[in-house]
Amino acid sequence: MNRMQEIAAKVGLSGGQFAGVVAALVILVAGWIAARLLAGAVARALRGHSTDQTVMLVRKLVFYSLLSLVVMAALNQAGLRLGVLLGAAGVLTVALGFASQTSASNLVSGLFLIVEQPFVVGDVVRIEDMTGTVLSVDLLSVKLRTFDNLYVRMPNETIIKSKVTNLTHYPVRRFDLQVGVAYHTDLAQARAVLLEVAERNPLCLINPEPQVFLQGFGESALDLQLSAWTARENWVKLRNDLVIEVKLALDEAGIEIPFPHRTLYAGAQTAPMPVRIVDGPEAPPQG
Amino acid sequence: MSTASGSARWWGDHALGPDEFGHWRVGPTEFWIMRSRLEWRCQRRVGADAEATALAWQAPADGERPEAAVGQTDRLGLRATGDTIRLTPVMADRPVVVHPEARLHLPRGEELVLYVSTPLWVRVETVDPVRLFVEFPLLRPSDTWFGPTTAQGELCYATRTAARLNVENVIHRPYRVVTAVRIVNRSEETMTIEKLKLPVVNMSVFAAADGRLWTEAVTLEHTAPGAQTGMEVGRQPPEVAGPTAPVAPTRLRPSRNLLVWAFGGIGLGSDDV
Repeated sequence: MNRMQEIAAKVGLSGGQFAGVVAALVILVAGWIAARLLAGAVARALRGHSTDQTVMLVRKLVFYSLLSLVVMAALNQAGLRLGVLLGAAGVLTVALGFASQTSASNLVSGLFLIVEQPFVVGDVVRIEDMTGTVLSVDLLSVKLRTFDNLYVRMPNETIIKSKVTNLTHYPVRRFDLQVGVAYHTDLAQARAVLLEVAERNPLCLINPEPQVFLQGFGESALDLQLSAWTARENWVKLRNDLVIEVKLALDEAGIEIPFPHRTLYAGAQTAPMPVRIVDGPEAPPQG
Repeated sequence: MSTASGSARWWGDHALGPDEFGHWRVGPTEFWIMRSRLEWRCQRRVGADAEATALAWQAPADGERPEAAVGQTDRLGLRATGDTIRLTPVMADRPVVVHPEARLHLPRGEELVLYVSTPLWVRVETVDPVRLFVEFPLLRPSDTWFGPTTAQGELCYATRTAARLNVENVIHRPYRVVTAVRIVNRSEETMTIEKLKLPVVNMSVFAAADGRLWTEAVTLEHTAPGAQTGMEVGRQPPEVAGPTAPVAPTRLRPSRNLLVWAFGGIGLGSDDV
């Protein structure tokens, strides 16, 4: 006790006040640990019965609620009158309100996102030009992890005002492959080749059945689209495999995928323009 | 040393000494199971001919081991390997949508029995203690979606079948199991069967005396267009299979009466049957 009184005197506090501060610190530390443990226990109990997002929200709610009580108890123990604090907080609120309009907007947007649930933790979403996996949906922002492992913080206000595409909401997804074939190609044969490629790939769903569309008469080729469905978890693999398989199949069938090209005409009434093919670095004659 | 061809029993317990291996060719799939002192190794590859009906096996085998780069390989590490490996033909791990080669119409009040076949998986386990080593399909079927829309439904496998009405015309392949599906049309209209979803995860595998594999018989009663169909999975294969013995249990807890969407009509999203 004498040691404590010495320390209290050094910091300018009475013995009673110093004891109160020490007790407050002890309450704070113990309370923080208890809040973490209890929040973790609640989260573990919910895991398996709820989505990842719900578990995360409940854990944070439990933790911050308990921590608020612990802080108030610690302040009370330290001798601070909470009534005075709350009164001052009321004055500060007005000032903070003007300063935190963006944060308030994010907060409200976050609540809307939690209620509306356009996506949940684990979904792959595209927001503006960013695509990634949702790591957490917090009150002020959403955290994404992109495919090249970047951590992106997206303010909720931005999300509410943007078009959000959830790439993994439904269990199956369609992949569209654009293929241009030469104008002299037998379209029925090209269609059959593409459909056979889809049928041979086991990741490609039989139902909905794959389809081939003629998108139009392009500048250099007939523009075809092969549309094939697959389970969402197989979409990337199908996308990669199908491109290679289509190329191989078209090559085997002798179907040309033309390069962009231009045909020059001098005019209907004129002879074709002569073209001399120069083989090697032979310079054409000057003049 | 055991060898067999035709419709022999390629499954069951096989004894392999240290550094011995077994070699199986079942339909389009060829696989080897090799035993070392500290590990089991399973190597497999699928041939190009999906309709191959070859059946030959030897355990222990006296041929050459496959090269390490051949096909897909799985290894099971143990403190000491036992001398027996167990192969079990099991049902697919998802429901299978069977597409008859041609549309079948069944008038009201009529019933028929369709014999359809679905691909089998192979479960490889060690014995004493029983541990699952690896499981793989003998023929990987295509994925398909079964449901009224692309937002509702279930991911299944798809297979085409001749859907024979006469059991004598059924071609038994060693990598497929046959199911007798009795369909009763109790509705007021003719029903059209374009595809049929079998809940194979609720069905068992049985072996007949000749080595052919069957599941329990299934009965489907169609009462009205758009209505869920009552499906009853029997307890035994049909009588035409003859005496049978159980080979593999169901993957899921058996449910004898299932209210399921079993039929699909024209086009996805149609509830008509």
